[in-house]
Amino acid sequence: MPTPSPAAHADLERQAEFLGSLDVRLDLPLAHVGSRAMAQWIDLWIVWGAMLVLVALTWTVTTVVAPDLGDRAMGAALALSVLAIFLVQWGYFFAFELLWQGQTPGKRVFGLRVVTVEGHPPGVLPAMIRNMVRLVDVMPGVYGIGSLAMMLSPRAQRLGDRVAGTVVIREDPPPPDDGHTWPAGLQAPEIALVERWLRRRHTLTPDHRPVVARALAAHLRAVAPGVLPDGDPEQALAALAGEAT
Amino acid sequence: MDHARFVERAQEVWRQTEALLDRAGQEGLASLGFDELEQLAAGHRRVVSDYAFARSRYPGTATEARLRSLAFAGHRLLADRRAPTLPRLWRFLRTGYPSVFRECLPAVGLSLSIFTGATLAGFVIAAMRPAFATLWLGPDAIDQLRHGEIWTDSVARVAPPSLLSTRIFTNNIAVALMTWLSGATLGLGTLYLLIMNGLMFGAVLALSWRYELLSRLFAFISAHGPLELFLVTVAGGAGLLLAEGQLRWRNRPRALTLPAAARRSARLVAGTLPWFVLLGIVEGHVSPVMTLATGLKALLGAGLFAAFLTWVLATPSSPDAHP
Repeated sequence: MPTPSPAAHADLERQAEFLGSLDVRLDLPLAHVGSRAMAQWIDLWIVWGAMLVLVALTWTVTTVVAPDLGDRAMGAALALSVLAIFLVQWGYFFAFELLWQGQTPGKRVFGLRVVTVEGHPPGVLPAMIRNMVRLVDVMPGVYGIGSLAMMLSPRAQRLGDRVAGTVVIREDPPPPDDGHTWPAGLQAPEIALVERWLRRRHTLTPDHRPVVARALAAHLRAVAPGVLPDGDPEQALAALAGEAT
Repeated sequence: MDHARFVERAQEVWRQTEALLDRAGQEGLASLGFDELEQLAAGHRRVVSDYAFARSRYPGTATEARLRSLAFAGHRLLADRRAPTLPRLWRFLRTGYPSVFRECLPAVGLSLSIFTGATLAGFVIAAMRPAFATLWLGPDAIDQLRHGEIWTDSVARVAPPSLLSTRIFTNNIAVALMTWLSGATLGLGTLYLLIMNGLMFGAVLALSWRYELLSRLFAFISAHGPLELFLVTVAGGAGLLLAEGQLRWRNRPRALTLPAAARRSARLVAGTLPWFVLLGIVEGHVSPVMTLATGLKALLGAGLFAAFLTWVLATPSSPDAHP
């Protein structure tokens, strides 16, 4: 049976290369259009919500709480509200990406992060530029220019990313630190294969699960003889992974 | 080296580094003591070299993924990123911006000539053939002018000055930012905005002259107008710089030249923003007061304009001009 190599899975992922500390290359998976759009959707709800709350608050204060405000006080209240809405509208993405090291609430939910092409958190200018050029990216319609630019870019950069020199990457939660080690005979492709089996076995149907386990065990016994304990394939794989049976 | 030896010999360092990175991420680097910082620096170097080994030897495994995530967290934390502090902001306004402005003088000059040229063209065309002005001005606006009304009359009646000021400066900042960033369309957007606004302004001048409203127009605009129009052309210059970054990359990768040009143009726009606030206050509180002599307003307008020019042209440059 042909072995699905972990590389075949990795090919579906587009990665960005960064020159990390000690000049070691750092490969980080790029965010997909879908998760970026969803993150944007959440952020837009927050922006609209905040503006709605501001308008409602101003209305309540000026007509219910203090309906007999003088012209000057009324003007000042409205001026404050105009200023607050302006700041939310133009400053939301900029402020969050600057203060939360390249994340907004929406990006945090989906595990996305803006980094510069050097892999650093965006500073004042990159955060300012990428979020101003957003106004060009959203045109025409819904992110017309932005989607096109992302499709044409090897690093999935929208126009604002290109101009600012930033990339949006995906931060997967790191695997749990169980301190487990694999026996000497096992090479990387097989380790990755067993790890994926362990992660995904619960999603297989009861009929299918033993079939996959048998095929996997047969493959391991052929590639690395003597590594897998004898007996039932599923229990043998669990024992290999250091699980108490 | 087999997997067991690889993990067992370094596992403790990875765990210590992870704990320190977590703490530094939550409480800030300053919360770590000297010994802990040294430990973090050494641990990070170990993590990075182990990651390089794991990537070549154990690609696609959980070990590689864990080390990558640790290496990235360390890389982010240790990156040299100076926070935007008030002293830095002040230094930018004090000495940084003037030298940025002087560096960008050719772009500002080009933008100013385009706007001025379009204004002249708009004036001449509208003065000779008023019908042509309808191409840029709405029929309502022209109708108002013909009946001796000018929009500046109604502006002051509808809102108290503080609200007016805020509305005006937020709107003008938005206009300046749009003029700048529409340069990201290879310059077409900025050119369009500069030319259209020049034509409209020229046509308004011509029609006001024709219907003898010019003195009232000047009474309204002379306090805030000169600097405001100039600052919008500065934003136009920034848009042209952005376009230059897209169009002229010579033999360097555009991925490098474009961000550099964008940063320069962003600085050029950033320094104009506080002035829009000041001009908004003038436009909301002084300009609508029709009892004030136009001469006094013009004096104020000239003073504001001179203040800006003195700031950007006469401030000596400092060695650390770029924030």
